[in-house]
Amino acid sequence: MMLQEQLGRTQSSDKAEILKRLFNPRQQQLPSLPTLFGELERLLDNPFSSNRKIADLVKKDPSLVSKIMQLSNSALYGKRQEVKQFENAITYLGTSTLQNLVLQICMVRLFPFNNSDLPEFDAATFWKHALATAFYSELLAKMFKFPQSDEFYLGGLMHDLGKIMLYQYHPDRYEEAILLQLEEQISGISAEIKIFGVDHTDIGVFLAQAWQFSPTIQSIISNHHSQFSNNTSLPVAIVSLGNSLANSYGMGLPWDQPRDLALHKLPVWEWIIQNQPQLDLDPEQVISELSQHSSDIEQSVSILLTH
Amino acid sequence: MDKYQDQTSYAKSVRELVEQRRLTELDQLVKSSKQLIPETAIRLGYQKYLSLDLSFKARFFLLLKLKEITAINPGDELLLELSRSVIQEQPLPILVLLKDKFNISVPLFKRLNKDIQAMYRSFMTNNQFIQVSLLQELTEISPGEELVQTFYLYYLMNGKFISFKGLLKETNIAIKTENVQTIYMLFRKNMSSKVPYNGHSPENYQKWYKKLTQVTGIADEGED
Repeated sequence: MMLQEQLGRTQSSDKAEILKRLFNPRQQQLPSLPTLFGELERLLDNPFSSNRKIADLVKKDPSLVSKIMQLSNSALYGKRQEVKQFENAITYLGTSTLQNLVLQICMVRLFPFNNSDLPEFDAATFWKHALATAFYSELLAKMFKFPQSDEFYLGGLMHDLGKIMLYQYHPDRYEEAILLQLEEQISGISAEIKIFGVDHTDIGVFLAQAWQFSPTIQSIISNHHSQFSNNTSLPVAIVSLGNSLANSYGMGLPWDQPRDLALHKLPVWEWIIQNQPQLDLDPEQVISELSQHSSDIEQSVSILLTH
Repeated sequence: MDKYQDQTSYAKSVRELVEQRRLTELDQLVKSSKQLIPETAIRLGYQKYLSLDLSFKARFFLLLKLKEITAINPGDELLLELSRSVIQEQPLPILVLLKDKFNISVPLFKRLNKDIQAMYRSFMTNNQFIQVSLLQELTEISPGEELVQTFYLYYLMNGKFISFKGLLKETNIAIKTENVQTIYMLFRKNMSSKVPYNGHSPENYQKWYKKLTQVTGIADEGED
């Protein structure tokens, strides 16, 4: 039976019910993060953990170490001098960036993108968008001198998680949603709701809850497509801007390219200027400033995807 | 009273500030004076900034600021050079900003047709079909019909039905029936061989075959 028909009969069901039906956790279909990530989180939460202890844990997975070393020596992570020892990489990157990199590598492994039915939605395209959004969000947070810029990175990395879930578990329906989006010139969110009854932000939050990510990350995933209002939080605004920058700089999913390329006129600028007047923000300067990172991001994606 | 009553000394100060890239001071000077801004000095400044050994974003920002302060256009030849480097190196938002700030005209874009077609090719290669219509809207130059047909074929052969549908919507150029028939012929040939080709099984071909009819709306004339 078509999922749409099933949903048609369950109109009164809430989102949680639809999500359960889509991913059925009883059959353990939900992907889970490796135990190493949980152990690392615990270790990093302890202020007395030494770099040696952290290194010993991560070194249990040699390919993880190799990727972290390559990434810490790449242009995107601001390489100034070659880092040769893993312990030095921890100092150089900082524990928060290390944690984000480990998560990034684990997520790439978790979603292998081996379904050839939707060739436009490949690993390189998806991760390039996720990484670009993460990178721009963190850079914007740093530029605006916000503390905990690494959380913005994580939010950017995770914001479209629901899309991979749709692709991985329901590729035919997902393709149908994209074609509907193109045919009817509606937003991706509207098309997903028409086909699935929920959209990728609901699914992303569902997974983020299962993975016990912070309320800030859940809020970013949930609201990165929402209209700006007095209730909008700063992390949501920044990641939403990071997402728009990634899309406009040609690092978006093909069907998600923005229709309006006048980036300097996006409503998010107005929201930031109104809510953060002390920043003395010049959108054009930010746009020019961030316009040349595409090849650095591509290099990092290629490191991430190389086996 | 105007500090720079003497146009010559005013022009000299403007030229110096432009040459030394002291744009904040230039801004203050221009705002505080009623003298005419010397166009030649500004145009020379544009030329100099464009050829500076700096990253494109830094050069572009300087040009943008100079325009903002003086409201003097750099002239067609310089704009042509600037637009070409944006088209060759930069993503669309910078081109939008460039058009918006420097009032790039359609005839000027027409002189860049070759570069614009290369940009279309790059967008189509990367499945960025929405960018295709944005570039068209921005420059008023359409992608060549032959280029579009080539990419229709490429998308359909590779199972990129979303890109096919997307490009079709964005350009409004219909696919040639004979092109679809050519693909049907190739599909039939591959299906009958029963040998996996390009990593895809014959079952996959069956699925593609069905989708091909669905998205193109053109039936296989070679089918019995």
